Amino acid sequence: MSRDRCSGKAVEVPFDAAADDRALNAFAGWCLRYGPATAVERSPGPAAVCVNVRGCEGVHGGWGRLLQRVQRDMDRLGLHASGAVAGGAAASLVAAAHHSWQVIQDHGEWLDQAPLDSLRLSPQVPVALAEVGVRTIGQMRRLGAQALADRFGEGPWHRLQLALGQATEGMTSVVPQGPLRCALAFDGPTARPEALQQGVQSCLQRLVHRLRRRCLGSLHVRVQLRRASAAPTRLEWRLARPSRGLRHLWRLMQPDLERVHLGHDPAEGIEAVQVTSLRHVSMAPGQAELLHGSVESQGPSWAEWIDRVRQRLGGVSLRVPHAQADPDQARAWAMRPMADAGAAAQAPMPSIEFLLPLRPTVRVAPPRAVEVACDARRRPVQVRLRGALQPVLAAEGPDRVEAAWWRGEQGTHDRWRVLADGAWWWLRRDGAAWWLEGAWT
Amino acid sequence: MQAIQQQVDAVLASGRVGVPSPIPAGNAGPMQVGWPALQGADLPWHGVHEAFGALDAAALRLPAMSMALHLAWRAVMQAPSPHRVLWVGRHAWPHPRALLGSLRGLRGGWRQRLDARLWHASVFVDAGGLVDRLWATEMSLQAPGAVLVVADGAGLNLTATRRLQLAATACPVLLLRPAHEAASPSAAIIRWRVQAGTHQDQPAWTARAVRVRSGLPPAWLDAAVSWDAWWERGSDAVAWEGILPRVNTMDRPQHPMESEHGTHAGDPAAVVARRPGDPIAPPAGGLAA
Repeated sequence: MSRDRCSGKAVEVPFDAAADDRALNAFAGWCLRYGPATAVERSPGPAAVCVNVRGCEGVHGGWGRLLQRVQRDMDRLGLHASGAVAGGAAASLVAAAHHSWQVIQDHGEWLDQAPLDSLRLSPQVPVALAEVGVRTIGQMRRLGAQALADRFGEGPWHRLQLALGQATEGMTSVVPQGPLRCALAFDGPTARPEALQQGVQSCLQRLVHRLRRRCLGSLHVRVQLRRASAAPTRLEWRLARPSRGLRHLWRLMQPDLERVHLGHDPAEGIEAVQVTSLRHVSMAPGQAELLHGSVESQGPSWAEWIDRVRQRLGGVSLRVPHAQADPDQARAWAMRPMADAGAAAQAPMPSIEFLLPLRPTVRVAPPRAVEVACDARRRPVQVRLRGALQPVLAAEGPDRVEAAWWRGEQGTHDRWRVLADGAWWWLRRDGAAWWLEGAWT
Repeated sequence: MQAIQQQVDAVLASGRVGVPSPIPAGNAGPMQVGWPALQGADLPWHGVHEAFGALDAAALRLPAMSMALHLAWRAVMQAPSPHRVLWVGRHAWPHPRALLGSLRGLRGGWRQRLDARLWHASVFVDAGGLVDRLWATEMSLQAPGAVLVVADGAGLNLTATRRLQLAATACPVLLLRPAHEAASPSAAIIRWRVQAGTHQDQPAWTARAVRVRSGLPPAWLDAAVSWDAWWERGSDAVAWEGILPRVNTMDRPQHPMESEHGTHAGDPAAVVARRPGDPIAPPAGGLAA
């Protein structure tokens, strides 16, 4: 649920984890005005961006003035944000939650007084610790590493060490660079596919070399073919995960390049090729890459498999299950397109109370109208399946659900699970109409 | 010459020479599917398997999803991580709720918890036409970490299933086929006919092996297995588990649906199913197979 800025009314916006992640990355890029490196914080908790401002005090005229500027900018953007300056990223996150808009100069007692929630642990850890009276970071510190690790693993103690500045912090910085281009101009227009493929391969090799040197991986590649007497041809590929694998990228490009019409007359052919990485993110070098110059010596990866399927079947051909608390079954249980690289893998699930009720193994989409005869108590007694009225041997229901009033929908739906014709069926009643929504097959 | 003879003897002794089996040996070992009717043997975890839903019809596709879910849960529970189950074709997509199991255990109190292993392992491939579906199924068999591919097998001919049989070496593909294709030729190593029913007022299913290729135990032919959906009755176990050995042939009146779809002569599924509402119980005579 969000609020329309123009009308001030509440509007329903479906949660999109991938779009959320893209927006957060863009915001982290925007924050580069405060410091030379920014990163999106991935630990559990509210969305957060860390800015490395070490050594920038003089530029901003002091930490206090920097915080004032950030606060002013957030107000201007209409964002409800909190911020703080502290010794490290993890400490800053605790300070932002507990001492908002303050400069923390030391790792002193303030951290011990901070609540556990501000440490951005997995949600069940603070709940479990609160049951035994541990509510602040100081109390958790006194438990010791071993006691915490026995119950919750290494994660919580490591998080505490990060906040105390006693463990090394790594930041996956947002890369602010623009597109990377490599181009090649032929001596004259060519209509030979071998020449075109060799030219693109040459550009791609140089592009991969530049990406590797900068520790980047491309997420969006474009090949532009400039023609002598026609509009240029553009081919684009979006990748599931950042890649700088020459073989991976070439395997994606080759089928599309083979389909490019090169013209009947050599004079109308291709004059120049340009390979551009339009979007790239930081990517750590792999051991195999350092030794052999390629990361693809161990067969196709999951990312490469995704790219090959998407290339043939389309960008939304791969999906993952999605659940959200909604009275509309189609919205509650859906198949969403698989998220892009770096995005949160899946949306958080609703509560177990919503997820547990029985649902059919197969959904009938769209629902089909069925004829149902009811008794005096409006319980189904006969249902027409496969052309014949079948007696209902057992019926469970009604499972009554109110429509989504916030979307302007009205009324209620009754759902029944009925045993007829040798199987269980999932029926919905809207007033006098009955619909077959699924079955246990 | 003597050295060559010794090498030949060694090869013969190792048992690597013989009549080649039409069923290629899979990279993965057999899978424990918890079906005692298979007489202690485990299901070969490679090659093409087929399942026909008895409720399935041309007008309304209701594939034998419960068998796919049962095998998927088994695969996810036994395979090392990371693992993936790929569902190819919209008709082979289950209701997402069926991908969630429930756990009930001492840890965290006697509260129900979700088991989302299959949920997180599942990837759905939206492939429309027959050619794209076949290509996507073959690609899915090559996906890294794939432990099971469930595909909509409608319209696949013998050549297509042979092609899949050759590709399915690392993990099996379960083809969910419509009932009216039950007589079509196929290279599948095992073919099941799944009958939906009920047990103790809960959905339950019985499947019968109606075709078993050579290389598998002959006793499997006509073997019947059953399982049910223990969604909300689990005890320290994944809720969706069909492990109960209550199976078998029993005499009952012919089901109306069987005559409608015309199961072919000799198909044991035509005479095996329960009367709706009857409990599934082992017969007095033991296993018929």
